[in-house]
Amino acid sequence: MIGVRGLQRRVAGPGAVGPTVGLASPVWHRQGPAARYGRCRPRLVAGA
Amino acid sequence: MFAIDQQSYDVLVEHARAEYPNEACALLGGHDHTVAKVYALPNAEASPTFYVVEPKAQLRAMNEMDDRGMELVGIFHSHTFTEAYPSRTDVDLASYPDATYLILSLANPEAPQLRGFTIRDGKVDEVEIRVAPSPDPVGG
Repeated sequence: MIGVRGLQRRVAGPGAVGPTVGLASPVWHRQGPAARYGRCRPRLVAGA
Repeated sequence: MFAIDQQSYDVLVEHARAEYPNEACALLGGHDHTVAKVYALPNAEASPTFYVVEPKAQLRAMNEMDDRGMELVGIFHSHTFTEAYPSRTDVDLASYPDATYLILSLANPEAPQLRGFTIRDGKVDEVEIRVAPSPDPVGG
């Protein structure tokens, strides 16, 4: 298994489809996942 | 095989009961398919039939796991009225192939049932879950 950051890079890297936790807020992009993970934001955890 | 200690298991059951009738959700950090910490997180949908881990809480939990050198070993949610098996939506939205998806059914509130699965490319495989006694507290 790989770490969270590596996992997210793998599953949410460029070209990945589906929602991520990255939101449209400028603050989110400066201080949130974009700042920490670059373009590779974690995928949303969701289901039913 | 996926290992969870009794204390963490109890936290999940308590979280699911507290959120009932809505679905509860949590992330599980640890190593080698073994839970080290439970992050009981809000369901942003507050729904009995759907869950979305509140995104900022998800990020905080994942960042802490990262900082502590933990992996995302498990993704938990409850089914309040149906069996502990991934729904079609669970399969469609499963984005973490290396994590074990744990589902707790409260269909029988007196006898919660926890099952685990991997979901990879739409394929569901059950994972054996072992609930182990919690370590004795230091000095206990």
